[in-house]
Amino acid sequence: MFLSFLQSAIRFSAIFLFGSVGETLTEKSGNLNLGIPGIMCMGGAGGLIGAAAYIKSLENISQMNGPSVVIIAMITAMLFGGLGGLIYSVLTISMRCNQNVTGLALTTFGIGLLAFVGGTVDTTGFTTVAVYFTKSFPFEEKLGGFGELFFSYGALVYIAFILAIISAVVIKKTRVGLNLRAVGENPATADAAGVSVTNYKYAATMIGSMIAGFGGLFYIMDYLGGNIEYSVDVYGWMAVALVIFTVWRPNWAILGSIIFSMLYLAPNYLDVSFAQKEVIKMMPYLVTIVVLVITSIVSKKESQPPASLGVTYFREER
Amino acid sequence: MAKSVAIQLKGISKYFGEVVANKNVDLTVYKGEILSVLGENGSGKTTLMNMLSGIYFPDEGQIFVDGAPVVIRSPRDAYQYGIGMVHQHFKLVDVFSAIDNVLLGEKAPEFALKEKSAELRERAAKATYVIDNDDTEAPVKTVRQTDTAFGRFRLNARIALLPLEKALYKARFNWLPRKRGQKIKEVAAKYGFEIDLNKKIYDMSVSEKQTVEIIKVLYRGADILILDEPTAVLTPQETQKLFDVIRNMREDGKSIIIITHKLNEVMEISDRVAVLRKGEHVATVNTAETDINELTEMMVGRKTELNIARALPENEQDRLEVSNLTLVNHENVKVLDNVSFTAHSGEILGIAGIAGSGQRELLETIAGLNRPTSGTISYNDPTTGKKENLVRKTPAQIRELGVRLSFVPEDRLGMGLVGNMDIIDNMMLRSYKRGKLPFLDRKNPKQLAENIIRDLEVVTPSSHTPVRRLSGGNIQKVLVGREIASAPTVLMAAYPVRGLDINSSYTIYNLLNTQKERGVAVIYVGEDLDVLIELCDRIMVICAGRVTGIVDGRKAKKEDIGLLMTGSVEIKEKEGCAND
Amino acid sequence: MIKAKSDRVPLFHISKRDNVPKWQAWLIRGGAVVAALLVSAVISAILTDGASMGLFFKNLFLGVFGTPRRILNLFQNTAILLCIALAVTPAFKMKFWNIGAEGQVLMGGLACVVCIKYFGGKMPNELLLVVMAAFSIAFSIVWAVIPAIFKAKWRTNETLFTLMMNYVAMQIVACCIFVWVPSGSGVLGVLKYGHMPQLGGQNYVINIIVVAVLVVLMFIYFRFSKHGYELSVVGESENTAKYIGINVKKVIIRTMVLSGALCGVAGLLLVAGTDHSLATTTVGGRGFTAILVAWLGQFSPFLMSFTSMLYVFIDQGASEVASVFNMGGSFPDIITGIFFFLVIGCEFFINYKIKFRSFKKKNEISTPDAEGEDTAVGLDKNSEEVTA
Repeated sequence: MFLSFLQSAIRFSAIFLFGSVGETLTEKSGNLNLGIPGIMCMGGAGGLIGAAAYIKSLENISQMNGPSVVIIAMITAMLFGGLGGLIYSVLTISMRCNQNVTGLALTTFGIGLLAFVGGTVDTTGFTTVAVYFTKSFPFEEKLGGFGELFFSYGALVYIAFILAIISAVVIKKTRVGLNLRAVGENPATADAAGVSVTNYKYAATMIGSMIAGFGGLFYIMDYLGGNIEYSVDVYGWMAVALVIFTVWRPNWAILGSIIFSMLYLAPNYLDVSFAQKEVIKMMPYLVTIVVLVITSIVSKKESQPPASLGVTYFREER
Repeated sequence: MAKSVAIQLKGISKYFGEVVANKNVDLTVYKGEILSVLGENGSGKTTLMNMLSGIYFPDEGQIFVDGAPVVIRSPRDAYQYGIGMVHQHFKLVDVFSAIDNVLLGEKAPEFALKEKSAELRERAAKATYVIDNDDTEAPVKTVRQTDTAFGRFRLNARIALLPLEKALYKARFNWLPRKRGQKIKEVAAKYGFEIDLNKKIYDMSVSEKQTVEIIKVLYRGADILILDEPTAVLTPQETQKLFDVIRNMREDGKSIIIITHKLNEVMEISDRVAVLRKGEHVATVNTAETDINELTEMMVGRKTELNIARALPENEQDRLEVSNLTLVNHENVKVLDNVSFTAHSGEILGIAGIAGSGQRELLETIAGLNRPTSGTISYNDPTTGKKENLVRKTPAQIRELGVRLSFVPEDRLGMGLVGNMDIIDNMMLRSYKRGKLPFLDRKNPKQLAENIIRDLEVVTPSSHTPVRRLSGGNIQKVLVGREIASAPTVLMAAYPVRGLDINSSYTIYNLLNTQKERGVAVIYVGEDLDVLIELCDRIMVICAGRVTGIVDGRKAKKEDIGLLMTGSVEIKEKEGCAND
Repeated sequence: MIKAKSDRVPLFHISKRDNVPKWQAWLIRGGAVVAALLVSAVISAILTDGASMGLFFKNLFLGVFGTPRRILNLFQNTAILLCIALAVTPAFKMKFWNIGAEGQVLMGGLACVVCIKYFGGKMPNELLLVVMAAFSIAFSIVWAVIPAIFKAKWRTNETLFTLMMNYVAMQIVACCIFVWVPSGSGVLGVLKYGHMPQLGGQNYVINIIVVAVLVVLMFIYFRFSKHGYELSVVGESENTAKYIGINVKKVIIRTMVLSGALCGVAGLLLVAGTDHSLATTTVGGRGFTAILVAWLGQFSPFLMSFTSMLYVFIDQGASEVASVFNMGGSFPDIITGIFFFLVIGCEFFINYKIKFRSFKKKNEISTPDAEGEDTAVGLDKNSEEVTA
């Protein structure tokens, strides 16, 4: 019972992890991208389009090649997520528009796009596609509980964890990460030191958006097994919360996302009323608020949001 | 001595909207020299240098590095041409350690595939001499790596693997934990800097921060160093240390450009001096062939006979008594240390000191913006004769006490005025609370705005123009006009003529003098000693938050004030001051 | 000496400007709206395999003005959106990024339902409405003021705080609904009590009147009241506010109380005026849209009336287009998204000046230097200025 709870919590955590790793990268560059829920939706829409286009190109669904469809859907999800990031970047970085406003508009757009694509796209064969997405290691069964806990997930779950670890290492241990953090903390300084603020902001936002795009894809193709549902944006907002909860550290986000998904899924495993379920589902937001408040009261320099978060940078400002 | 040219600027101009920051500037910097760029505040020194370091892009003109025309679009470009700048406001990331700040933005040296492979081939084709003792006929043999099949294979394999090597090289460069900061420590040691490189910037003192900045530029291998007002924040000892370092760098063949307006430092350190005035280049002279008087004349355009009218103080009364005032700021630094003085009615009390010695904090504390750790500020009300303690009162509470205290802050648009509001609404800042109704009265402020525009000759399209669109002088007139409109008994002004042209400056001096004649206690914080000496009745000098002396403006000599400012001399006559 | 590969003059140079004449700025904004409509028409043409643009615009207008009912809907939807936009404006003018209007309105709505549940039928409808209004406003104020207190006291990031409060509010509503509806369907039916009276035989008229009055009141508040003046000073510069002795913390909290109160009114109008029910989706993203609308209207109540109506017009018209062309209910979201992108983006051309450097004349102008540096790129003085 507890094992299966933990297993599904780890699986479900991928959607939060994709979103929060993507948003962390973006925020590290000083961009508060409130469009991340929309971008996750766009990624989902991209995945649907990719998978549907691939299926359409086949004469018969039985010809479907597992790895191909997975890779194609991932690429299109990435492209659509990246497109969302590009819109955001062009508007906020190049055209210096207000970040919050642009992000909110992007979220509206993304939600609309997913709902539109979900309503229009031909969904035949999606359940087969989902089988490939959820395919886990062949030796999982032999390892019993251990296998179930560690080897029972589809590829995207592992990708989420790997991306989180890579992001953490890059941010903490490399010059690229150092430069990126400087851009988010103090762009004028980074600029004076020869870091291209624009390039870093673009790159971080675009890569972050691509990663977030996987979140939508995972939710529809892996978690829902190819059934389309439009509540991706809710998880997107939770991912934004998770960024704060983990004080801008992608490695902590792994643990954080599992905690969030446990809190989110716990009601299904507990014998509680509907109303109590909703109360438990409130917890992720409440703990995030608590973390936010505590970090601001303690005001330790290292656990603050990037200093120039939400501020557009214009070099010749004077 | 024929020196080679490091940098040449030709016809550089830069405009900010209507404002001309630089106009048609020509400047040459040689290798291995120290060049001072001298000019008053607002003469365009920093803007000019910012164009060299890639912060601004010139609107007109051309920059040459080593004789070749270059385009410097960003600081990154500047670094590539070996130009590094230490800004007056340090460009450091607070939450990073010194090492991380130095490493920031560093690029890996180029790994050129073509050249590397050519080099390998060349080395392989070179004859190697092998001493082979078995063969008595020819104990020394010539072998080439390319002679054997295995050797050729090895060579080709090496070349084929070069891209991989490049990737590894890049990855290793990118990886931080590896011997992080070893080279930085060497650079620091070479020039004798004593600093803990693992300390976070937010824990550092100003001079430590400056050290980090200089190490950063040196570490980046800059051949041309630009230092913007480097001594403004340093103690005399620190300044001497810095100058030693600068001389060492000159010995290394580096060019150093120092932006400054301190003449004695110019004479001490530089080889040549370039003088800017109002954005234009006046002349460049060899330091050995000039003197302070000539430089001053070039800098200000005429002899510094200011001819500011100064009446004798009449009917002096103790208006504001400050005693033992101490203030500790957020970073736990004592910015004010046991400050005591008395401001009299009907006189102008000048405050002199190196920038950032606590002048701003002193005025802000009196105005009720800071809460001092200890000390008293008492105000003698001329109408009631009562004494009011102003410590730990907010500006609103001070006003409610009936204390007519006016304050012209240093930061005009950031504090004294609201840039996006029109002149009328800015007039209301002081008076909007008047009246019992919850609604604003715009009639009186409008009248006031129009009076100020008329009386002080403010150039503006109308009283509905947002103040940020006005020029610096007009902004200041609006601010000072508003502050004196409330008929103050104490008027504090921080750097009220900074960035203003001569005419506007004189308008301000006259306004202050008028207030003085009306019996107002005027406190004037200035940076130009000539002005202080000609305008003020008494001059209080502070250094690092301490009062080092109070001198008579009519008798004081510039040199004496200079010595007090650096804290090298101190006049102990606090008792006398408090009692007179 | 490394030869940088950047021996080029930047293609264009961006500088700030703030002297654009008002008519020109509005021309640019108008152009962006027209461009957004054209792009939408093209997209709908693509999606429907070539439906004509004429048809798109015809249905767009029909969807809004086709029947009197639709016109009333336009005003009613505008009223609700505008009410929320008015609610967020005081905070935004103060540069307090309150993106929690969604939750604040929802809490107001919840308060109304609570009143209906416990007082419905036990008191006259008029009294009930008054009680509902009081509770609604109180609940919303509480929800808005919590982040404000933390912001004032510890500078807690208000954007993230208010965002989280939205979802806490939603969960509370979801929870309450399950308490009230034991069947577990999670849908609260239409409530019998606490309906706004009809005016002139029509629903919604009271909503529209209330919001119209609010627009005027808020305009007066911002322009003529001391509070309004204080909050703009705080928004423009906290230093100035301290300098003239404004208690910044007090202003932050007071302004959020006002913001919350207006959200409460919006909640009341939603529950008592239109929906007569409550769900987690009652506000339906309008808390966020209102921010966009208020921002586009430059936080001026009258301009905001216009922008919110424009938004509702596009949204409602696009729904009609979608239903005629059979494109699904989410098509309007895409269209409004595009509308926002273009209108947000056009501000760039108002606030900044782009200077392109003309390359053609390069050779004529940059005469080679004495050293024979014919690679010198003279910075041409005759670079053209482009405004839009």
